[in-house]
Amino acid sequence: MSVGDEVILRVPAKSDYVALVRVVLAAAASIDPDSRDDRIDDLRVAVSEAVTNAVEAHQMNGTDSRIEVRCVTVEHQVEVTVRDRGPGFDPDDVVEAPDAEAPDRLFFENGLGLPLMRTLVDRTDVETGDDGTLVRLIIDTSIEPA
Amino acid sequence: MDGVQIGTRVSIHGDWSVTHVVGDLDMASAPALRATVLQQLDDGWTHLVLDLTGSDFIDSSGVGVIVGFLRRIRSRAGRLELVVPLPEQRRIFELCELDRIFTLHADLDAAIAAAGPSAPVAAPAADGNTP
Repeated sequence: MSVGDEVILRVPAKSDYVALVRVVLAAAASIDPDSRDDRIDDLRVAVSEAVTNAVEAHQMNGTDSRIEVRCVTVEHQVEVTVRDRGPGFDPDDVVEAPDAEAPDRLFFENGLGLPLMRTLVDRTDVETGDDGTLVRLIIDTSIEPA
Repeated sequence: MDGVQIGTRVSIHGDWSVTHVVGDLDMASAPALRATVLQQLDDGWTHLVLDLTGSDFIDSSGVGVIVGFLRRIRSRAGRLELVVPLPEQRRIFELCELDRIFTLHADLDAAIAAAGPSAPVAAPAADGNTP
């Protein structure tokens, strides 16, 4: 992918399309010859988390509008945005997972997506409101993971 | 697009029921895996191995469903062992700190060896697909 190349996907808010998005975006990011496989793997998971949350948001809202995913690469930096038209959420209400060995940890099957995104990519921004949520993931795919 | 990108196959190793996962484990495929494993529990198996050798992708939807398996299995005094050979898969478990409650085995032989013989389990079901 040359500098400034852009890929835009508009996909139905269905779980089956999550794999499609992560495959396309990982392939687009891999065009950079200096990209590292482990960073592409991290991007793949982070994108999957963001699109999963978007699909769930649309399912909550019952909207049939598309989820828009945009990927831009500038040198080795990949920026992915995932825009949904769900109900939004209060980031302060996101419950932190209990300690791994706490008994109630085994009841915590959801809610790991946002923390994973924040760990896997260099920067995660979330803008959310009544008209939906925009998640921005930024990663330099040429440097070793932290 | 239709359907899920996953396949499951169940094999029996002594007292252990092994569910082999083939394909990506995400929000689309997690329900199918959940159904397969819950069927094993309904059939009376309490000692299970989940083998991710045939899968090269897992995200938090996959991890979440596995956490749910452990909760259900422990409530039946059973055990769950995981085969997670790929570093990129292990990394997700580690980032979620679930390597503290699961042993991530490199292959099925290691999982079975570590598992050892299980405790006596429920009586055989009608289809005979039991320990």
